[in-house]
Amino acid sequence: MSLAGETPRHGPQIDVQFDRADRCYEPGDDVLVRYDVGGLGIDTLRAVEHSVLWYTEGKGEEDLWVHFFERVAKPAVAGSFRVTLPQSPLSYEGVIVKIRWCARVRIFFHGGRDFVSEHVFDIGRVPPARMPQATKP
Amino acid sequence: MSSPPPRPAPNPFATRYTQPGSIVPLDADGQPVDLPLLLSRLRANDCCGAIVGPHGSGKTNLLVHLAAALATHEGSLGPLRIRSHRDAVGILRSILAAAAGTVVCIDSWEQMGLATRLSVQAAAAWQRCGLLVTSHAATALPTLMECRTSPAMLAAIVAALPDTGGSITQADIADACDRHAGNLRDALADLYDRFESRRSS
Repeated sequence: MSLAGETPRHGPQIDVQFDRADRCYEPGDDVLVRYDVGGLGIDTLRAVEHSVLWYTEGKGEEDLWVHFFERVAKPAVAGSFRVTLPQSPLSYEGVIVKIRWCARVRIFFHGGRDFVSEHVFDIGRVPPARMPQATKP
Repeated sequence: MSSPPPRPAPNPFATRYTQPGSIVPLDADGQPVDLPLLLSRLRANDCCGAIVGPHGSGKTNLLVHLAAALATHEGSLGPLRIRSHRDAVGILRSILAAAAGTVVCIDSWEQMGLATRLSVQAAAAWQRCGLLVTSHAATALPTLMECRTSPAMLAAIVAALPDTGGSITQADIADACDRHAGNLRDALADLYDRFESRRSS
């Protein structure tokens, strides 16, 4: 499996657009995600999976929860999905741990190969935590 | 489509980028390990072998990569880690249900008691399964590879991670490797903290 974030590495280009340019949502909001798979013919795709999930990022074991998932067995090179966001957890930019929400589009090719594209967005507006600065004696 | 607004850069040393399986296995010179060669050595030993090395030397990472490669041919079970008696029972059941030729992959072999190790070996032999383990010291199994680390290896790992934006220098890498006596797991955790600290300042 290959993974592409905001800056895709090797693999197809998946452009993702959120219905809010700043990608900031409130709990309970609907998020609409549109995507476009570039440079591929429809005959090369076997399936597409859409998901909305959060994961933790830090030094410890990664935690993850899939809030929304659907598999499209008759895929197109462009599509969209709409999801109502939950009340929690809120996006959090901590020092030890961060909580990131993302929309994920995973495409499966005929022959078994697949490619994942992840796009981070925020729920809530929790200010980022920062390491306390050392005070001079 | 419009480009998204800038967001805080991910910490390149977070677990999601550094966990076993995420990093290409490297040797002490920072060069990729020849996985096909290791696989052929393993097959020459009836798919039995041990990856040996100290804490944080990349044993588990190598095991994950080998297990994935084995899965497409021989079939693999694991990597498994036995932490309790209940784990041991579950793993023995899994081995006894495995198809002949499957390679059972076990992490932290030396942490298992002697009785458990003997039981696992006997179950694997009974099922005609291979056995690939990681250990801090040589085992009764043939040593497939001895893992060692170096500042060059850590530098090569960091180079393959998401961009640090210049906040982590070669001096940081050398210092982290030295401070943690070559334990790459701890050195990467150290670099995580340095990255966060400099992001804050």
